[in-house]
Amino acid sequence: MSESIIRCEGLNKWYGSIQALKDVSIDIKKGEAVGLVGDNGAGKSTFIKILSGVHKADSGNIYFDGNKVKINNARDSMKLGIETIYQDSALAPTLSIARNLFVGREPLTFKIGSLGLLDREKMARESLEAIKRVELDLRSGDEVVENLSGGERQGVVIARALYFRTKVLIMDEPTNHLSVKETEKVLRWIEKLKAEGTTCIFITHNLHHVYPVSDRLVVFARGEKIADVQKKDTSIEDLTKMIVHD
Amino acid sequence: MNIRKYFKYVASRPEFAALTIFIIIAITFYGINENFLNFRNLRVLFTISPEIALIAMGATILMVSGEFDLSVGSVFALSGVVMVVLTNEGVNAHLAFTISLLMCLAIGFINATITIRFGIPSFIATLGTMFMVRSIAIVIVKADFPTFPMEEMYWLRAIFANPIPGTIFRMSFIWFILITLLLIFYLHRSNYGNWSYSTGANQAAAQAMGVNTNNVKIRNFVLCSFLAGLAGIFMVLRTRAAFPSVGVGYELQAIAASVIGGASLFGGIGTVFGALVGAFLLKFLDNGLVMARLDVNWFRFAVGTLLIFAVISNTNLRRIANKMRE
Ligand SMILES: Nc1ncnc2c1ncn2[C@@H]1O[C@H](COP(=O)(O)OP(=O)(O)OP(=O)(O)O)[C@@H](O)[C@H]1O
Ligand SMILES: [Mg+2]
Repeated sequence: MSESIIRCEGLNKWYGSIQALKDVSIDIKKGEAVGLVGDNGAGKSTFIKILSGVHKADSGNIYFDGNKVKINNARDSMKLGIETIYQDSALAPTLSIARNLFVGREPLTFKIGSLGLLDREKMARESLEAIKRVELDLRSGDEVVENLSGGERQGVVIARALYFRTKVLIMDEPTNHLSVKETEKVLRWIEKLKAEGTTCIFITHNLHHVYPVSDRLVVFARGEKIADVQKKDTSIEDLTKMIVHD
Repeated sequence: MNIRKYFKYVASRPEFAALTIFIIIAITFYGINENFLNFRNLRVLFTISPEIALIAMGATILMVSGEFDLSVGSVFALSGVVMVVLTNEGVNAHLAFTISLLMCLAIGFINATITIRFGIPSFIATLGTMFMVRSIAIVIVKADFPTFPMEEMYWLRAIFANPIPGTIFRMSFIWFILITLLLIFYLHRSNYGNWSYSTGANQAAAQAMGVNTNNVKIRNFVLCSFLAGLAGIFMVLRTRAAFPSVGVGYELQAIAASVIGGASLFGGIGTVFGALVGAFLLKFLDNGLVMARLDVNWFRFAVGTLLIFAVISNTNLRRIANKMRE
């Protein structure tokens, strides 16, 4: 578990005159679950947006699997095997689970150039299998996503990550707006992802959520990384103090 | 299939509601005047309906991906005008036909570019090009209408416009069926279709999954404009006249047909079949009012009523279907 999967060196990011990231360096190991914590506006989302290709760092380097990479857009990030989930924007609400699962990576029966005929049988079959793996109580992949609860939606997104054997799954507030029961489910899924060897990076405001499932915690404040500790070397109280007092 | 499942299926597919209304309208007008569905009038109906249906299907596909095109009525007029004027100027008719369609593709591309590059609503961007394109069509023909080059257009008419002997159809209907099948493949069976839906339903999500949403929209703008242009050419070849004033209001009829057929103004919802039914419904209604010797000016009133009714019922049916978990 000592091999690094994502290593960032000296990332800086400005939004106009606001510096959202100040010289941030992080080394994330394969299979690790890393919790990013910090107050509002600390730069957590900015950091993961750089990894997922939504924004570009103004300076600094990113290494993936030991190789220096440039992540210019979401495609680049996905090609590396990084998948990012934003609370409200991970799924298309009016589409079925099956269609959502395969957006951008549709199985095709034949193709001309990039235009291809959907393999709908495979989509139906595999989507059902994928949602079964996360123990979602849904009988078919035809259900429209807007009918699902927040927790079920997260389940679909995690099923997608599992299905495509995502190397790194980044989640921005995966337990936001979820009931206690649904939150527990999401945390169980994260355990499952870890067991499958997926590296997880997640942001949350609720230390009680991140703490049990993380191996490591990284604290951001005003764009800087102010702490980077193994869970065994810290406690919820210590972390809370850091976030509140800095 | 149990009743519940069947009901859910129908409720989540508003094009069936439109189809039902269409059938009711057809039967009602037939009841008022038997000639409504006689050979001659069916020939009329199946000639004019496909033209607006082509535009409506393009509009629906574009709406599915989250954008509008208000310039289709003007493009409908310009394509025919350009083809005829160029031919009159001595250009080979088939070349003029090709140039005209290429021009429509270019207009679609311009609509997309303005919308995407400058990040303005397509409603406004294409409202602008609607005026511009109409203006060009009028300027090109100058004051007098161009004569129709009968001889030069012989083959184009044979391929696209002439009646098929012994049937109620014209050649254009065969093309219409072919295009409809291709569009169904494109929107409902292909990966491009899936990208269109996801782009319209949640652009950020589509982008996060690696879909190039700009390309999706460009493609659909171009497709929409192309279909409008082709419909315009069909009409000119059929009527043997190219008036720069045709197609005024078609952009709104196309959107109305789309919505009646179940498309959502917010993107991510809509079907090719729905657009087709919506368009046929509008034309049958229009023609039916004439055949029933009612004041045709009621047409707009009827369309307006239908539109509001359709949007309300679609929204509610969807809500009901959503509540019915399997
Ligand atoms: N697109 C943007 N344009 C301008 N400024 C931005 C943008 N996104 C973030 N910022 C600013 O950058 C800083 C860091 O924001 P960021 O969203 O990364 O914080 P965060 O740690 O995710 O906060 P939260 O916990 O509230 O989500 C803030 O000051 C924010 O106002
Ligand atoms: Mg944030």
